[in-house]
Amino acid sequence: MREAIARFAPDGATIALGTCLEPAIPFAAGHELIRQGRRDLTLVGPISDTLFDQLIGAGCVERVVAAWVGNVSEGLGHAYRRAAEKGEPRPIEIHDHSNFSIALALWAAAWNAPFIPTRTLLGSDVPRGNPGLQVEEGWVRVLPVKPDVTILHVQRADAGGRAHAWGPLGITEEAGLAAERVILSCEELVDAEVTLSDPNRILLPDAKVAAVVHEPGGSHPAPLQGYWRRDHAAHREYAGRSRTAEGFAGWLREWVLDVPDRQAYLARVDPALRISRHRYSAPVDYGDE
Amino acid sequence: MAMSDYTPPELMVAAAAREIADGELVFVGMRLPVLAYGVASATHAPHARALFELGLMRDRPAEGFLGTMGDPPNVAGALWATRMSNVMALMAQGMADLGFIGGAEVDRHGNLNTSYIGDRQRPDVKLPGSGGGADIAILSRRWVTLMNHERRRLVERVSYVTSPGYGDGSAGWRQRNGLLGAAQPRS
Repeated sequence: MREAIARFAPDGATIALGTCLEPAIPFAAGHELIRQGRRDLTLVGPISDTLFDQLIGAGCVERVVAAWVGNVSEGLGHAYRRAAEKGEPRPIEIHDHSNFSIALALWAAAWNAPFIPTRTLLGSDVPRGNPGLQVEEGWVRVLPVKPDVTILHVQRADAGGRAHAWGPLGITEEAGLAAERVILSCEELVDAEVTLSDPNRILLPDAKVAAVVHEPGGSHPAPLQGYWRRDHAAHREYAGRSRTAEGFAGWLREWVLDVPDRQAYLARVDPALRISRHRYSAPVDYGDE
Repeated sequence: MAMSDYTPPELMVAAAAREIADGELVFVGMRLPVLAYGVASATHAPHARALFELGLMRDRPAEGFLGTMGDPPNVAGALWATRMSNVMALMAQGMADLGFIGGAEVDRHGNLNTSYIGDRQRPDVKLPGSGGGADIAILSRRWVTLMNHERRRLVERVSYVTSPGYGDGSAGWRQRNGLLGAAQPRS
């Protein structure tokens, strides 16, 4: 992870994260961005639960292009509030979207289209603060949003960059297709024969994938179907501690800065969060003759 | 003082559940609407279906506890797990009968603010933003605002319209501006 973030997610990059909304959020990658002291990032996402709040509080972020930033089960994002209201630890620029419009902006970039017209956001003030949303008579023009890098956490991937992901995908495909490159972190690193046995389930073309990181537990405290439950208590603890700048700094030291890597982090996570009741789908037949 | 054997949130959930008719496609969202869908499904609306914006459709409530719509019990047993734009496609075609939105502030014409209290450049309170709220308000056939009835939340005019209701309240405002859904509020 350290190498993938160092090589492919530089200062000033536009990074899409948390593209499945609440599940499969690449928290391990986000924490590595913080540890490496990234600055001036543009974050792109729909609802990234607390990850955007953490990156903003750590001072990594210059601009947020998103539909929602907060703590899904607990409410407001306190670090987001401090940045927007007081410019602490630094001022941020906010380009508001709705969930639908951020999806369309990424599809526009994926399709190399100048814009996508939509009815959503008519009558709303959301386009007012976003130069990428232009209101016309009876429709809204959604301009492309192109990430430099999209970071995803998936159930399994092979070393060649073929990922299998399942469960709701949110805006993952458009964020991956639109991006210059993709960093995959995966729960299981598998042989190519596993991924290639089910090509319909391969998430993105391997040519987009710059790095594959084997990072079990990489989505904690967000859930991952078949592997991890959501850690509600961790979200509650973060909400309480991030209420003040000092509390946030203490939380950040304890859970990010003083933690060398994800393995050390996982040693502190309740093992009961691992999913133990498995529900396998029926295999499919790709028979050809 | 009259005694009741239910709490205000329980009353809200029951009232929200009554808005769900049997067989409807409901854009659910999180928290209280999840409970409202559960109540409706278990009582008068067993055939109501739930849509979740991250890319899920269900025909019954999840078996386990949900902290968010993306928790694994909400995916197990789903009718459809897909991408967000596919779910939004149904709503854009007018196929979502009902949606639920929570908000920090609502005004007399049903406009909701979940974005900024005070000046947008330097807000007094930065709220999380639209999420899917604006999409639901603009594209579902009808929708219900579910929020605590506190004086500071019920304002004459919201300072910022995240999710539009009936705009300035003039007749035909939604149609004139290209929004889907009912021309008049029901209540």
